[in-house]
Amino acid sequence: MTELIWEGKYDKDGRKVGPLRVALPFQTVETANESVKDRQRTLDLFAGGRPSEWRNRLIWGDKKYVLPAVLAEFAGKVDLIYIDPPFATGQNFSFTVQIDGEEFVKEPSAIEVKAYRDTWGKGLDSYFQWTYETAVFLYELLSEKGSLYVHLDYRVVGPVRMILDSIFGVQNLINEIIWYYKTGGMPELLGFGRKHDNILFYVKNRDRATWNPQKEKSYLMHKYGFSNIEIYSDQGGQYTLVNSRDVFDIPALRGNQPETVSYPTQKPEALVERLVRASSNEGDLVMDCFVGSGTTAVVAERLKRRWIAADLSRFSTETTRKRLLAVPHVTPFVVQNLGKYERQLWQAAEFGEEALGKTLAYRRFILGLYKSKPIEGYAWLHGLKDGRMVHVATVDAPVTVGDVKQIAAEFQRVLGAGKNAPMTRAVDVLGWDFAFELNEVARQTAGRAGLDMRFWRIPREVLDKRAVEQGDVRFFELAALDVDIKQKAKEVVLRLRDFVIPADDVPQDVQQSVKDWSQWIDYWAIDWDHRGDAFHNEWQAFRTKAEPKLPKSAEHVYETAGNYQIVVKVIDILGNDTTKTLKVKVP
Amino acid sequence: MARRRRPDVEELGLLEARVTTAPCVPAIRKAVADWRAKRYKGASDTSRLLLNHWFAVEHRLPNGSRFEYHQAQRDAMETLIYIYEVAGIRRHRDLLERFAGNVPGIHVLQYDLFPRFGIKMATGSGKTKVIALAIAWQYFNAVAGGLDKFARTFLVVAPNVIVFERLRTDFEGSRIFRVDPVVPPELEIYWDVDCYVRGEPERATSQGAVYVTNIQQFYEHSETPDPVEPDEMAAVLGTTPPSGDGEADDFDRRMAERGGPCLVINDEGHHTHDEDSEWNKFIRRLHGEVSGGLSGQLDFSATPRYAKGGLFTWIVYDYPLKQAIIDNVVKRPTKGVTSGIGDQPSTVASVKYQAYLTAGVERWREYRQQLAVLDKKPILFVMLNSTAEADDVGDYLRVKYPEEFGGEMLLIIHTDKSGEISKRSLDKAREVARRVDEGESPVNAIVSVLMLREGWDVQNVTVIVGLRPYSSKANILPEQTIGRGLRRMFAGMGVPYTERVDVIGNTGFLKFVDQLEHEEDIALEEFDLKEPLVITTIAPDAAKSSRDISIPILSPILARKKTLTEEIASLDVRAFESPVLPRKPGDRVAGTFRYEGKDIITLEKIVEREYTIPEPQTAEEVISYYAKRIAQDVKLPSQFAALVPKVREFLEIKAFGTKVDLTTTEMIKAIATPVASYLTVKTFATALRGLVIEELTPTLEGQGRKLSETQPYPFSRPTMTASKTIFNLVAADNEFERDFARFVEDRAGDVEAFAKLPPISRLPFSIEYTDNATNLRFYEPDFVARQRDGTHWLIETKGREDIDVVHKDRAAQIWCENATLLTGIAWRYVKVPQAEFAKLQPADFNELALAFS
Repeated sequence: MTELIWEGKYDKDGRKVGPLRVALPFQTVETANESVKDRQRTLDLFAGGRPSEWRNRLIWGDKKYVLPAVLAEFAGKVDLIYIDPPFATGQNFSFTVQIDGEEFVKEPSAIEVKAYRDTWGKGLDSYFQWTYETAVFLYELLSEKGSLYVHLDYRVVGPVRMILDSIFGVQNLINEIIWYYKTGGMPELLGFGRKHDNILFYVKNRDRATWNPQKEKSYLMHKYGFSNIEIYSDQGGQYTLVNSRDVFDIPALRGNQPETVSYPTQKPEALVERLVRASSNEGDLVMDCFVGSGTTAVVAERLKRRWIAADLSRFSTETTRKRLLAVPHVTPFVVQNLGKYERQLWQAAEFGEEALGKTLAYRRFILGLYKSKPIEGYAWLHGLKDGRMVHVATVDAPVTVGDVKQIAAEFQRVLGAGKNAPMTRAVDVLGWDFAFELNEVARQTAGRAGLDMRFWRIPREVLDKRAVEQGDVRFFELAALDVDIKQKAKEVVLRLRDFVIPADDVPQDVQQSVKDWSQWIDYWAIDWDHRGDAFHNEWQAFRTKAEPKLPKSAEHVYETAGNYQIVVKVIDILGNDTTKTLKVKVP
Repeated sequence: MARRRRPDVEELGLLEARVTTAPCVPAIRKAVADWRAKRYKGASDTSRLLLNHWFAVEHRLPNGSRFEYHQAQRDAMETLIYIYEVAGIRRHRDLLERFAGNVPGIHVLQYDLFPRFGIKMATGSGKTKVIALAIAWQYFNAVAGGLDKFARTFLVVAPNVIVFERLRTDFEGSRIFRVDPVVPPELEIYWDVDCYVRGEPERATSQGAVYVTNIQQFYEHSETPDPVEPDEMAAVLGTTPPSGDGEADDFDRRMAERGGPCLVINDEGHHTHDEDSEWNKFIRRLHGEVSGGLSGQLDFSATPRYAKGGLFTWIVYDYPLKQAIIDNVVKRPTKGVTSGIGDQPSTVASVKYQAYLTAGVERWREYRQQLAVLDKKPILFVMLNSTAEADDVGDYLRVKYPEEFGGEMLLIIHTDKSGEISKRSLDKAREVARRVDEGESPVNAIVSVLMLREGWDVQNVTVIVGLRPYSSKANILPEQTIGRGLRRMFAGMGVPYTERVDVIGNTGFLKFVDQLEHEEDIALEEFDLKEPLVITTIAPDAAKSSRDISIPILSPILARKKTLTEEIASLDVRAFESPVLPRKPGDRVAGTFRYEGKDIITLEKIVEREYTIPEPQTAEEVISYYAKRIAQDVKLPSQFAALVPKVREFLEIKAFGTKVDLTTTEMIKAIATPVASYLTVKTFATALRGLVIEELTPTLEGQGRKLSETQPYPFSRPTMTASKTIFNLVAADNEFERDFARFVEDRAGDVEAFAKLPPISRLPFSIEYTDNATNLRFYEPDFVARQRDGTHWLIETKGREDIDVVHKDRAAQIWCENATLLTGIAWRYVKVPQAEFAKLQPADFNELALAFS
């Protein structure tokens, strides 16, 4: 069989190099658009260990981690995948954005640059391996009635098709769709104007694939009078409705259209809608792991499909989130992190149901990271692994010697002594930090209780070794943000005063190039009237090529008097967000 | 079979199904039981670990529900491991010599080339799960155990498309290995197995592979060379181009290419006895093609019988239908007594069998009404002799009962002569089978032919109407017919409810049922169609809400009284004691300070080594660095954001003895000197160290769980009424529990509310504990009660002690202690032993508590 070979496809033993299969746990950041009642119920479900209701999911993470993690839950359950994967030339994760008619290019953030280099470091060879690894996962995710649409252009459609053929089987390639548009671009110096994209359409199983024929207009060459077929007419002339063909004539987006959200790779909803309608039904699960501007999620939401959308760009997930919140009656969805986690989300400052929810979510997360099983009903023992009990220390305080004594005491009480004692008397203590000399005081304490107690530092020693080797799974600390507010009657001016991110989260070379604290900021956004539900970014600012200095202040004039809550959200160059809530009283 | 749980033994008056079985089975059963008692001595470490994980741990699935392999699945796996690893049997001859020594007239297989074992398991008893376990067993021994006689490549073969389709739903995308607890967490890193169903090309390289297909793939495959074209033409014109998609189905070639031995598993392998069949020829060919040959061939079937009815001689494990019925693993078929009705003289099926159809529909209606409260929908399954009859009866039912069976609500399944579902019906039939069990299908009735073969069944069948001319001679196995309705619909619920499938049939069909009873040595119970159907349902009664009891959820939060963030925020940097730092190079530290017991003036030399930071560009960078250093020194996780403003404040207003502007180049340098670094970190560390060591305190958050949240469940043992319980009835499991409940209701005047606790699937309450191998287990106490003085009780009623009791007791004790501590409500635990309870005759609950707790 003819085969496409690239550098890195086979290892030195001649085995095909497969993708990294590390299933990291998700961190739920927010449930957007959820009523208080629903939230209450979710918390209760949490405690009961009962299956909770479906929630659509918006995930911030690199597909390298997103796909294996999603696979653990959704193998064979995704009914439709549409992807518009990033492609090298001219698309290095910088964004062209139009503001008031002017064009700005938003520079890529640090993690986007890294992902870009992972994909393109060795040119096409690494791109092919990247594509191959992606396709292996997508294949495993698809249900037996599932379909895959891969959006490409003339530059890579050839080799990518060979890679997909080798995984899906040639017989499962249904169409190469040509998306033909008239907009954009200048005529080429050499060659014909490039006015189409290519979309490869594969199914998992020809005999089972979902297929709803779509209709399109077919204009008639001549005027006809007879009517044994239905003939319609519009300004284009007479037409009949025929089954949609594999050439789509759909206008590309222009800046002045309502659906345009200033995202360079944004695809028209009409295009994605045709695919979603053709290859899925209501309630089916639609996925896009390069969701970009969020078109797939928005279309799926409107057409009552369930969806999972992911992107490694924080700007993308924020844009998607914003677009979704604008969909009328959007069903609640969760926003999740994967691979890059925010520790402050688990810091429970208050008590009550919410604190319980946070604590349980945190414990489950760490136990998941450590591949151990939760056990409930005890204060100091939280999990089980390989015959050992597991204690998960809190996220915002170190483990103390007193804690160690409590752990030992509960172990003694719960697991008993004498002939009924467990064969292994052992506890793993997972902590962020330890307020004692690990090898001495604590070990002695545990030793006196006859316990084999081991101390592991989160995340490094708890995380899957393979993920550690990758070096890009991170647990970020909350950065320090200082915002100044000035008010004159109905006018409010916000100024960023200081932004400090933890030093060792930042690569040395990046650190050296920063001359001002504002350079840590990728972009920032403000919700001038936060109602305690989802954050609505009504204003945002970022650096551009033309204006590399970040605007540090923003102003807003309120129309009506009242008490307002302002939320400032700063996304740093590592993709983390730091928020600050302020209150104003407008006269 | 010492540990089998048999809740319904008393009702049947049976202990164990003593059914004639295959020649080797009795001796093997005994040997396996002895081996189990010796804690699996002689099996590999990997196998022992697997057995422990599969069968000793109580599993919780990702969706939160509980899961246990049932005893037959355990027995089957133990038998396989014993035979293969401990007894070391590799050939049919050895098997017979060792285990069938005294049975006369058995012949060794003609081709005795590799290990071949038969597993007989009744329809609906979960063969597929055993297949998955067998694969994991071989794979982990090969990969984790490094034993090269074990297979890491597997072929699962179905006899036809419909069985293949069912296997496909389990194996496609490795579903069964992801959903069921097949892979123990300890071995997860070794698990690298891809499943390929028919038509899938090879993807990434994996250590192991499971190929799933139907046997016909290989017949078709061997016929590919064009038989028509003479060689001479090929010589001139070149060979004909291959048809497009042959490549992907080349499973035998791909298995051979993987290298190492391979395990072949035949599902519904009751056609495999003909040694010269194409099927067996193919398997022997495969044995020759793969390096290392076949590590074995496993034939799974409910009916592995020769044409004359005898069982295959290579069967090593037999789980008969009768036992499955006794164990409640499948539904209990009961025969409807239809006195006074019979076949009408007509050639039209719907006229001929009208009386039976009417009876079936009536019965189905009763089920529908009774099951509505339980959110389940029953299915009426009508079986006829021919496709024409099925069509006629289908039409009749649709027209006669349009509200119930009109249009989409009735499904007719056609089969071909061999009983395979015809292509036209296949998709619909599969779709319906899936959706019916998920409770979202409109279908209320299914009409098919008796020929409908294994592989297609739905859980919700409650009434089977079988109609068959008396003279019919079709070669159908009766278990296959009844088997379509045996799968349980409440299987996951864990309730003591004996599910039934009611069988109504004309004389011709009942003759058929007789044959089943004879073959499987069962006497099916009978019921009178005139007797109304009653399904007892246990549910909370809203009118008795004063009897509700709330059970706390014990997942305490560990927290400090005041968070570290708050404590850091309240630090006053002005009050820090620290020497004044130099502002320019050359300035001396104003004032002296002690460092490791010595008075020193400048620390340049000492600190240089330790505290150097790269040339700073901004003050924030320095502040960030110090905040991290401080956190590191004091071991403070996640407090960076709290520390930063304090460090800034310290440098701005305190460290230099006066207020300074940190944005100037001069000051950026000044705050970054080794001395500044050392002093800042040290000053903060001194102030913070004391704060850190406060111990955490457990606090309980959140509401408890109320008995009134219980979801209704069916129950088929004797019940009693009681006014002190929130439920409509007391669902006591046995006579002793009823005695106890009667005592609490009638005599224990000091108890105001009590309840028999519902199963965990209906109210998620159980106490999690570990056994002495630190396996996670769940304990569900029998009763809960509240006394008038507010004391709450967990109550265990014990007939006899089992080995887990000490663990359960301790778990319950500790649960009560924790609950009392955390909620402030007194919770206590008492175990009531049956014999002593009878002797004591306590006057009230206090007296009972005094005696037993």
